[in-house]
Amino acid sequence: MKTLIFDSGPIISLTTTSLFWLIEELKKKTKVNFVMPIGVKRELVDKPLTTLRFKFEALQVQSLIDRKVIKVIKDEAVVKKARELLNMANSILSAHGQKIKIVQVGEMETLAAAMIYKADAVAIDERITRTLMENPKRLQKLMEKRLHMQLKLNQKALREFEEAIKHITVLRSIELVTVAYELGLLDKFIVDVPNARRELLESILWGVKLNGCSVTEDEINLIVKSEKA
Amino acid sequence: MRRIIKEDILAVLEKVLRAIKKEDYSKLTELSNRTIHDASIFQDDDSLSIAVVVYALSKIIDRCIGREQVCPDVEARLRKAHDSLKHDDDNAYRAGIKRLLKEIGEYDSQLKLYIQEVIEQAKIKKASKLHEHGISIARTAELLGLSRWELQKYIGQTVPEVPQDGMKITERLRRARELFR
Repeated sequence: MKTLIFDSGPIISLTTTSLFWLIEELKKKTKVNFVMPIGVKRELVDKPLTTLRFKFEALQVQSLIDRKVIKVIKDEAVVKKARELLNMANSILSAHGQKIKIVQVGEMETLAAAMIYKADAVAIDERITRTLMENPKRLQKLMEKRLHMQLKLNQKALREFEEAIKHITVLRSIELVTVAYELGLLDKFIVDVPNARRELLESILWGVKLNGCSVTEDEINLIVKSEKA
Repeated sequence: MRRIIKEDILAVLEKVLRAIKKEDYSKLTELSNRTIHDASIFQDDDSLSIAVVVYALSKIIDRCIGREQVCPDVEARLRKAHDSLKHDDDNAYRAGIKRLLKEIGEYDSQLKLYIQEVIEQAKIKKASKLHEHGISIARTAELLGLSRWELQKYIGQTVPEVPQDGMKITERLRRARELFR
């Protein structure tokens, strides 16, 4: 069975776009195993349940966990590996002799779980973590531009981090909703308007973008263009 | 407190005091970003709290002017915080900033103008700036004690687009299709 490990980002994007139900439909249709590390669950469910804001969203996520659509993993090995990844990632760039803490442990738990459970992919909407994984030199350039200074790159930490995560495929909620659309899971929203299919596709892509999935307008246009009206 | 952070905060406070004296309140928003570089690198409470205080102050003053109300008198508090820091009394400075934040919060609740409190709004705004400087959403949320739900939504709607430099969308889509085949 194939496995996809969720970071918090895509769950937030899908829930706040009212597309959360797609996760269950995707699971029913494709039998992909959906997993989230306990650190991600803490961020998505446990913390918001102690506040008033986003409590309902947290309950929605918990309902999927209760119904075993998403499996939560609590594994000491994942936490330990996440700590190692966190140390590596947060040692890659420094300024004024200070290592810059770019990422947080919850994000690294997603990667650690993917490594330990040999997942087929991780779902991450966040641009910084993804750029750090796929093009760290670009992240360095971006930060140097923003901070108006040169940053020191720790080659050893970078090599170790790249080596550790090299087999991990990153997907975003934008790809998940595109595939769901292609599988016909959103067909009930094809309504009586001109170019109905294209309008639907465009609407869901912009929905997840505006709710935090890092995707460019050009990328959205490319997906929409490939869809027949 | 590191020397570099102290110097930057002192410079910001001096400019804030000057702007308030001249009633040039529009300058405050811009000044609230002056410590974001330090906050991105050192991720210290002092760089973050001054950014939040100055931004919250700019919003409160904005609201007061909009409603033709008397602006809160914060000059003495800011001057005291500045002088404490200048004399290397970091604890007195921090206590002063903490008091100021509390007073801004109290003033905001008296105004009851907005659903979102001004301090919360200032934290979100500064968190999105940190993210623009290359710190992940989860890490910035952690630093400022914000909910990731809230921050991600805000960032999705406000942070300027940056070209994607990792995997091409066509390849990512191919892998997604393969996974769900």
